[in-house]
Amino acid sequence: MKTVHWLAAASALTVLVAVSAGQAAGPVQVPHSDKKVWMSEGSERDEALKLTPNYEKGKEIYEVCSACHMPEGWGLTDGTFPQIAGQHRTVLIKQLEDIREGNRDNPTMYPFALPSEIGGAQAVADVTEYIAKLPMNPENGVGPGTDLELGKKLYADNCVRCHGQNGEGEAEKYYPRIQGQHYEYLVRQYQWIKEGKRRNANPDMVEQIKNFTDKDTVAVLDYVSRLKPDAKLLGPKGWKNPDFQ
Amino acid sequence: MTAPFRSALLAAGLMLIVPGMAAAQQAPAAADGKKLFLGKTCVACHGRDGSKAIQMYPNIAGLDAAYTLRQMDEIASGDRLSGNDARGYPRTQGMKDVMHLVSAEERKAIADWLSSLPPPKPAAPPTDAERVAKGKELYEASECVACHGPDGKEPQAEMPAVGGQKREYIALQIKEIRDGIRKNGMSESMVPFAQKLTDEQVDLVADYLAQVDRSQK
Repeated sequence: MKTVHWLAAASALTVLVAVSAGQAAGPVQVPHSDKKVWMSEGSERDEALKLTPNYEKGKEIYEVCSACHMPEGWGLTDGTFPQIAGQHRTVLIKQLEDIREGNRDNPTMYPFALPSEIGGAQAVADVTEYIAKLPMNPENGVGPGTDLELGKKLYADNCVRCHGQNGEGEAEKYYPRIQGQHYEYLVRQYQWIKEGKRRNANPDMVEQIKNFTDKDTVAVLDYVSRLKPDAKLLGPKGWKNPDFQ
Repeated sequence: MTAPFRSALLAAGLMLIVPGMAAAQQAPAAADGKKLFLGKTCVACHGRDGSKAIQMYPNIAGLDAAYTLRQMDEIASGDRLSGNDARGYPRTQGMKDVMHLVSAEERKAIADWLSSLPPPKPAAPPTDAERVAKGKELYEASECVACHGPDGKEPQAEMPAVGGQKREYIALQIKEIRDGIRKNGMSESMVPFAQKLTDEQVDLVADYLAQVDRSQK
């Protein structure tokens, strides 16, 4: 599609949506496309990163997120919702903004990424501060446990470079912490990244995994699901978040 | 007493105890329903007590239990479809993607609990009296009363009470039923009636219904 034509359509839709929905001003709202964008330019992400976060405000905002991500931020073991506690703040900001801006599709979560529901850049700064500081789930969902040796080798050869020796990721580069994540969630995201259904992934990763077989996928993600965060990041088993009791 | 007879007595005793235990564990459905509503993500979109829904999602408190359950099942199965939001996602997709979290029994418990709740207070901002009057005229002339009751307050069995529902949601449903986008359940029987309404007329009906206070008889 020609750039000029796309921009005209985007502008028209923005006006239409803003008028009809009466929503707070925010990122341009256009129908989701097949466009793949790893790092959107001029994004509210950059603004959110520069703001001083307010942890207490973040806790207030988090209440709405807790309905799916659970009060502890541990999501669901079946992988429907990810473990987001202790994720790098940069990664949390990027993902929230990517969903907001339409670079990552998530129909269930989409309303909760909107400025009209949670607020603008400051809200994003605040809630991610809260989430990043939550203790992590010591009992995340793991895989079948049958092919871990293969998983370990695949991980060392393909994933360490970005996701780190222990799946700890790299905050400055927006590489997520994948240690302690639910196996089923890892599988779904990995598959969608591989297929291009998840459009905001790093193109290096898409390239790296393109020849992985299903057996490879299960092995490596099973291995990852068993990588444990540092003890100091973990919460106790069965911990309940006192902020939401 | 012989050993086999004693065993039989013991077995019989256990058979009496175990169903009793099972019955005790089946706590009243209403209590389970509330816990499930809060714990299975429903509260996020439909709000506390099912009456503070976000965006254009419906308030679902105090509706017919069978109707409520049916919507859950049909959104989950894809029998109930919808138009798309501004981002291009079907409006029902967000819910469809989480319905696997609740079993048939759990859905029933949630629906039963929701139906036991008081109806939401109408939340629509005051619209002008003329629009409300016109909307009421159209509602009655289009025979909506036959299924949804006067003021949308007392519907037929297994139908939704539409009085006091959110304005944007009412407008969307009438249009999407009219245009054949939503076809589940009894909604297809509504088509000939809805087809008589232009978009502007649908909006008038929605304005009228949204300000109905179902808690008032």
